[in-house]
Amino acid sequence: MSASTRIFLDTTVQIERVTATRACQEEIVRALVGAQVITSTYVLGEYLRTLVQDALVLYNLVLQTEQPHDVETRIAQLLNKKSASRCLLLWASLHRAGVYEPANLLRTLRVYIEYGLINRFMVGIDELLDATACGLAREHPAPQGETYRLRTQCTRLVKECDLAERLAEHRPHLRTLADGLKDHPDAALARTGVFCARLLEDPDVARGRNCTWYLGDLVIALELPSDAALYTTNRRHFEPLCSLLGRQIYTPQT
Amino acid sequence: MMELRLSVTEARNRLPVLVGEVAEGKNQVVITTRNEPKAVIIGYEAFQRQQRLRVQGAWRVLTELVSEAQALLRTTQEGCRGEGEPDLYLFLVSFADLLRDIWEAGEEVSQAHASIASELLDVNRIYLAGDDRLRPEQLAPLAHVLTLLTRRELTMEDAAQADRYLLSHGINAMFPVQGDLVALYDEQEPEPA
Repeated sequence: MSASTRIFLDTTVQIERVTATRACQEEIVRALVGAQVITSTYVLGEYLRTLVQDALVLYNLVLQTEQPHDVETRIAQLLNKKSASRCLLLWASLHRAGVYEPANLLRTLRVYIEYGLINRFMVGIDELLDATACGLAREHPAPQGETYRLRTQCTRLVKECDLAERLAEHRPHLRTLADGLKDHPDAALARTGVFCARLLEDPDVARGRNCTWYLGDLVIALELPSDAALYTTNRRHFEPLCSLLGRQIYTPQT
Repeated sequence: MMELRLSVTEARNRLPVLVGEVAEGKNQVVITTRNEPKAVIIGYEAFQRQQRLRVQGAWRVLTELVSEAQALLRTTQEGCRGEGEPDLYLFLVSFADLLRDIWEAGEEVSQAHASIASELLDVNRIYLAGDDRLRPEQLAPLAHVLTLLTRRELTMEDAAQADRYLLSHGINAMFPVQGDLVALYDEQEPEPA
């Protein structure tokens, strides 16, 4: 990549930078060398409520389980399968770093939770965009008794971000997406199109919807600067959005 | 101060009185099961005093161990100034033993001390067991972070800063990747104060 290339890292790539196979991590490192690397506080908010929250779940599982191999069983039994999958990725990361004994597992997870994961989020980042002023991005895991607490939900009733204001500035883009996605064969993308149409009428409905992936992808696609390419593993959802908005997209190959 | 030995049942029946007595420093109560001492009830002030002594003891041990590790690092750095490519394997083996003890003492002193020690231990383990080789020029950043442990007051932000500092020198303790992480940085982070 040349120094003039700007690459925006989305949440999936930020998670891959920590938990992917070594080959994939190395590919990401190589892809970013020489480029101007950017991400956003909105992505950080998503990262906190996914990977960092999962590290808290894993920490609790290790704390409650006598035998380390039972942790894998408990992960498999988690109701949220996406969270279970990320917990397994974190578990694999611990083993990749040579951590196996319960005391070491807890110790290393504490370091992940306290600062390790957030430091890795910021590795090599040249610019952190803060257009949405996401309130959840300012949260940090706080010790509570033997474990930690992290606020990962916001509500529409309490205004703690500028998401609605930013979306209101993107009316032409929202119109393009609403028109372009309304008959999309992928039901999830069609829902995104319907949601864009609702946002045109009332941008405030975006607040407090932090758990809906289709809003997250939409916000990231809209906050992506026009001169930057999006680096994501989620090509399926982002390609139609970026194509309609005229943005470039990259995906790791390994 | 008297030491009372009571079974669980006896202690349960007299608990309110016992709590008052230990709080006033009259008694220390040893709880037994099948005549084996299993737990102790002591006054909160006495408990706090013991905690302070424990931390002071751990702090003394920690500083001694860090001095020993610093001396080992210095000798190794001097050895590296000679001819040829040095083999740092033996250094890592000795360093690992010291770091394990440093981490244990650090756990008693503060969470930040424990975290920094834990990172150094992870670095050591990665270079001992992984494919990457520790380079002589990486000894200096390791020595710098080790020295942080001699500061009595450390915060978790200091630990996070130490982690970023190690990363900026290509030392990736937690999520090892073969590849040059330093290349991602335009400038090296300033040394943590």
